[in-house]
Amino acid sequence: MEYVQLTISAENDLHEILIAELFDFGFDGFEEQDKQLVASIPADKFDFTKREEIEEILRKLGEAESVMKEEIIEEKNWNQAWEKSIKPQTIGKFFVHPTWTKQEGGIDTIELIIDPKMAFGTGYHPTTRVMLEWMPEVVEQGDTVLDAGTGTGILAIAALKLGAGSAFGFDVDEWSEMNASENLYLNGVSNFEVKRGSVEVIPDHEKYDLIFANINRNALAEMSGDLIQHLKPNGKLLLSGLLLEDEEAMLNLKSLSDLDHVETKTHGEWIAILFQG
Amino acid sequence: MAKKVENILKLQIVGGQANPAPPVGPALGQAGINIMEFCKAFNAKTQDKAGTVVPVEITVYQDKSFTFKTKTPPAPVLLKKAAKIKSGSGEPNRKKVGTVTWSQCKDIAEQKMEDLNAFDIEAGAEMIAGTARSMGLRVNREK
Repeated sequence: MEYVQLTISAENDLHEILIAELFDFGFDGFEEQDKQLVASIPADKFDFTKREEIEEILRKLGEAESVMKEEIIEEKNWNQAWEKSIKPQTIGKFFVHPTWTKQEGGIDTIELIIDPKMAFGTGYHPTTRVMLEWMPEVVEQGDTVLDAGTGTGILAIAALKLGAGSAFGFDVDEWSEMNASENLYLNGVSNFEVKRGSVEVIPDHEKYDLIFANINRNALAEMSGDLIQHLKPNGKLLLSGLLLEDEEAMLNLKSLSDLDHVETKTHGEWIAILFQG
Repeated sequence: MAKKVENILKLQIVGGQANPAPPVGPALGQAGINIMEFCKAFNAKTQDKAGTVVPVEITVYQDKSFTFKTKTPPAPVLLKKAAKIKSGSGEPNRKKVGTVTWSQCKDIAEQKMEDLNAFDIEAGAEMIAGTARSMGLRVNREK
């Protein structure tokens, strides 16, 4: 999605007042710099009339405040600079690396090639690590897997490499569908379908042995009722993206009350919870 | 040995909804840190502030690791919500655009206490009332 970015000249003590005004105009992100405020808005929410109204507000606030620059920011892979710094890592049974590193993992490791771009799931974050470390205990040969919020596809690909029979992944993030498909190809796994969207894209009447979801408390609470509709009897639900303080709320969710809480694993301030039907 | 700080970024973004779009993508991408890792952590920690602007200060270290600290939503955002006004006044001394009560100032001070340089709620509420006046809001002190 294209964005419009306005750079506004404004004294630092006026930034918060300006942010309050611009937020109501549909601007949803701001960067504070010295005597400058950079405000961002999706391009389809911005037009010339809006700019005039904003300039009128700035005039009222004082002569010094003015729009210095209006730029169209096109969508691109902003993570490129960080990608160069990625180092291979061994996580549990897996050796995770992008295509541009040459090192090889230990003899007993399972290779996962993940070029992350702007989708989530590199293995660097504790929420993904805890899932990857746990997975060999959870995945059984031939399992059918549902990966909610698949990101780079790392969890579904890892499950397939451990012997799962097939996987279906979905993600609302527009980068994910393309990125997960690329990673699927890089790892030479098949039987993995990825779709853009949320629970509504899960094939009707399909039931899975294993459901993964590494998102966050609010999203998991909202979609858990739909997810368990797709869980086979005795199936496993592994949730991550949760903080320590989220555990109680998740364990008390009505939608999950028919499942048994098997275990919670902790990685720093993050947790993952395993339920079974 | 303490890690060397390379850069400090100050962003204000909607709680629970950080994504790689501007300003997060360009600002963090330029700093060379993992954008998605930041979004994940920020969204988890601010999911109770969904729908409100949350200031966040991101410290980027030379080894491209980072830490971040969120602050309470800006006082003008909370005051506009409390006064139910669309816009502040361009001439706050002469043209008043709405009213907030002293009790609302105290509520906002309570929410923002950790970020205010004030000894107690009363002193914090005075600061909030000052911001309210600078936006063209009357402060009604009647109980």
